Amino acid sequence: MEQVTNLPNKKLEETSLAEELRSPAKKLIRIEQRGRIYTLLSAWILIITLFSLLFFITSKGIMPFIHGEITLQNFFSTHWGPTSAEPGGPFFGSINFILGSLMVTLLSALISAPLGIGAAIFMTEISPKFGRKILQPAIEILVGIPSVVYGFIGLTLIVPFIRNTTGSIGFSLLAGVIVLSVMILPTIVSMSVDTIQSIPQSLREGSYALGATRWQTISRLLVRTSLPGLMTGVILGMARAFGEALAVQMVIGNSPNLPFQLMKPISTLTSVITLNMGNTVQGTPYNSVLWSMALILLLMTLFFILLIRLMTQRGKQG
Amino acid sequence: MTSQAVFQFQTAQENIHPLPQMEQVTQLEAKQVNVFYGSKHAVKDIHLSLYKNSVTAFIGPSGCGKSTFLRCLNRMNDTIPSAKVTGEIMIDGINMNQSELNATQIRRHIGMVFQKPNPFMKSIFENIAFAPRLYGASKAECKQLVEESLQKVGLWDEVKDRLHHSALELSGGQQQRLCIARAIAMKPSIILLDEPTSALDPISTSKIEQLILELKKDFTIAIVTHNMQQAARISDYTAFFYMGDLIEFNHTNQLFHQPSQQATIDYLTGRFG
Repeated sequence: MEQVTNLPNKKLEETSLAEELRSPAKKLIRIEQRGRIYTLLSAWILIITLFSLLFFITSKGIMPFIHGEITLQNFFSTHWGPTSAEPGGPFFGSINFILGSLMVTLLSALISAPLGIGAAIFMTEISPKFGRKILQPAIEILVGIPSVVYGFIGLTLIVPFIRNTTGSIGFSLLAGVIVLSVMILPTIVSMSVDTIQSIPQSLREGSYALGATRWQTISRLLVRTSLPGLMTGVILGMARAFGEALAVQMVIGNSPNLPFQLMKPISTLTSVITLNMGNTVQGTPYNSVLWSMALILLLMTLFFILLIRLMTQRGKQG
Repeated sequence: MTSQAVFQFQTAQENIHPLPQMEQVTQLEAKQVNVFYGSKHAVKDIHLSLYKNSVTAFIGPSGCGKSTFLRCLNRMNDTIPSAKVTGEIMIDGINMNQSELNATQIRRHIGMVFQKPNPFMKSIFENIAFAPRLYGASKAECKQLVEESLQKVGLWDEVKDRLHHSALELSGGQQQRLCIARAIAMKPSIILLDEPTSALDPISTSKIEQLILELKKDFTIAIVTHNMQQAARISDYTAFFYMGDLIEFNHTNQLFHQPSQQATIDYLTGRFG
């Protein structure tokens, strides 16, 4: 008993261990509470911000339909003429832009997915040394290039190239697809590399021991095993492509055409929003319809996130 | 070339281990096998035979080279870039330890089961059909092989209703038997087992041991184990490795009851290892 009270940091009144344990130092409790309050506050600020954003965009997006300024039929048509004075106008048909966004996204994913997964396999399975030394830094640089630079390069190199080789005006769905493919490639590669690397070495050995060649091991085992992760990478890339505005807008031509011809200029949701938001007056149907497009962008992004969730879930189940 | 051959012959003479009487057919014969990991000499001048339809156990303390040597027997060390294997490994009259011979083709004759069960993230059926598919087996052949292999490892009754469920749903012991079935499905002549029960509970272990005794009717088996009792229970021949050397190789009975080397006696009596 004496020994305890003689310890330098102990208060005199704390005479027994039992007493000390029953009433832990107030300071300890205070520290715990402070930490708890700090993290809780951060979490709630995040949640509130997110939900107010969702609420704001949703309410803005559905407002013109509730007010009857724009009918759904008008919105989901192919006729775009927001300032048109023709009878029946103005026309807010946005289906071309929705399809345009989907089309550039799908096509660029079609180019980037096989390329990205192939490069990732090369980096992890075929030549890890070269991959680590050359490809990895290259990918990191690709991620770091700002989208305006991608757009600028597309504008100076790809658009004239398409113009000269095909005789079209150059600004086109194809130009957008090429620029976007390069932009989403790093996302797909790095996600794929992570997934393939996480496959335990014992599975590769198991496959080799069964008389599989390296390529058979890759194609029959590694790719199948990492498929959920690979798909997640592709979907992440698609989400980026779908949301990308600046670079796309610089090369795609911004004409309200249906996106079924590679050489024709088209528009996407993002390019229409960025081009028009500064030129419209708040509260007018023209401005409101841009919010409706933003809402569609948001819904599509949520859909991509949902897909990723499903994929990772499936990956866990094996 | 000739001088080298003479040199090898001389070292073979010097390096005499008390070899068992050749009352059985030799399935595989290793001569002067050395393994280097970079500058580390992991396996030194091993001369050892596997006999048809028998079980040979490799025992010895951790890091003694027994697993490394086992991995030479199906050219698995080829997958480690820093590893170099010299010497001859004769099977059916051909030295398969030549880089110009295709390792993949060799592995199709020699099955291997690893320390930790490593089922693929596929269904039970697909796991076993993996090798036959590689060799171009038809759907019907695969089906038959899957059933046959699962029967052989005694897993058929346990899984026949869920062949298309994920193999990862099985218990550890079942997974290891699945891995053995997967190796059997490629119809090898030799099966190499690298500490196959070290990750398993006693009941699963005894099931695998019974299975090994059963399998030796059809296959030649080599098993690495750190469990001396296991070696005594299931093997016909035992090879004792220590620090990369093969200290003693003999009939299991002989080696356990009348070891000829001091190091073997020390290891068996638990003085080291």
